[in-house]
Amino acid sequence: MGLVFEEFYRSIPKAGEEVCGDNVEIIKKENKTIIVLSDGLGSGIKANILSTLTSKIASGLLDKELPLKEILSTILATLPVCEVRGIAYATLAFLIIDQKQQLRLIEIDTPSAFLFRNNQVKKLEYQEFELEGKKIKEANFKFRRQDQLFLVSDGVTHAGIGGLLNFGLGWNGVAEEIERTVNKNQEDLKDSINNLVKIFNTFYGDQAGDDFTIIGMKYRKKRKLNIWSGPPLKKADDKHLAQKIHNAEGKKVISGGTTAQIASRELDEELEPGLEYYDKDIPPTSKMKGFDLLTEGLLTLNKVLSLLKKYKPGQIPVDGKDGASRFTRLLLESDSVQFFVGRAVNESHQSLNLPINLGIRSQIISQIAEQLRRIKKEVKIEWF
Amino acid sequence: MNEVIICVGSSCHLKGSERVIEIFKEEIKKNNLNDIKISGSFCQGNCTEGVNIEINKQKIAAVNKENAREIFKKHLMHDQNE
Repeated sequence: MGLVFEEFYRSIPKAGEEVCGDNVEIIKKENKTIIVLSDGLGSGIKANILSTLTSKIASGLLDKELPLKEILSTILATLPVCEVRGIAYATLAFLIIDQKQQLRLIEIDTPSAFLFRNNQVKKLEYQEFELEGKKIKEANFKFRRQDQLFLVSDGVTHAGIGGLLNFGLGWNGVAEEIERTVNKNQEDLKDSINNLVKIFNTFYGDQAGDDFTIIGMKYRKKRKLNIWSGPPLKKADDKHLAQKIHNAEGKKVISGGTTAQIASRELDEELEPGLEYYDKDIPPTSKMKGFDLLTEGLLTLNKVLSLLKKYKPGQIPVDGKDGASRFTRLLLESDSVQFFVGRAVNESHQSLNLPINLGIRSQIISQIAEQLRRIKKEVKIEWF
Repeated sequence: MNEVIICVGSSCHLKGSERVIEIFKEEIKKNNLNDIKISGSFCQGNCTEGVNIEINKQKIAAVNKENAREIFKKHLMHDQNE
């Protein structure tokens, strides 16, 4: 089974600010992943613009494989100059990891990365040089299967400054927190990031004194998800489809009440309909042995599509117990997604005057597939 | 034990089954009835006439938030009717 490189981040704005002055850009390619973190001078919208510009330019030019000197001079020439401080400035950290697990990290004025290896956090070995008047730190290493790497903005290393701690956590303090948190659960990176954000927030007394961001990354096994939605055109295919999803490898979802009823009949498994509404707009989910999730069909699929449209790579998927949120999480946590789509039309829906885009299952599923491909998921659709 | 089944399929959902469930739950609580089991069901194949429900195996169509209380009283509160 193959490996995938996964990454999660969270950015917390300074208390009282609407937007975060840190920005993260992640570009997933077939053969590489590019991650960029930038922290704009100050906080609020000005910082946000500086860091967004910096990280967008950097990720775009890195994607086109331009040399570092070019990237830096472009950024320096583009950034608007801060009126108050008379300088234009944002920090920059970026890394590229290729299929051979070779990682190249560049840091400019940003806290050093944290490498978690063999249950311990350590500093990388850097080479230093100067370019365009900036001090650059570069690290190259092979990312191991069990390694985890964390990048932070200085809002993290400063956590607690002037309050709980005189000078903030500092690099060593953050390293300790990462080591302790990751050792509790090495498998769930998402969980580690959430817990670390809680810890840093606590050091700030829940009033972040600066924008702060943490990005974590690691390898994990590929995950497969199978989805059956819609009764097939030919009734003779009912059994075939039910067996197909039943025997498939990976997690299993059925979307559609009628589809679930067919599966229940063909597989001779009891179907337990739910009655719990977690979201008034999303019909309840139900249960059946052998399946990870059974949702209602079209309304849920439409909501899933709108959630996926809002998703940016590296974000931590929505929580929420309703069918659409759970379905979206399963999709985002999977790497290869197989759809089995039945094209039979539900007679009764025809008389309902549904909005046109709500009525056509094949169209919604195609759009969901398109969104999944955008974030580099492997998607296959079989029509029946 | 009285058994109530309410369809939560796409079509009945759009026609307001969530509200109907809420009203039934309210009535059960209000009247301290603990002999009613309420559960959901998938499409009962009568979407055009939704919301579809079943009370003690008897099918009732076209339930909505306006008539839900009345239907509840008629079928599930015999004592009070007598």
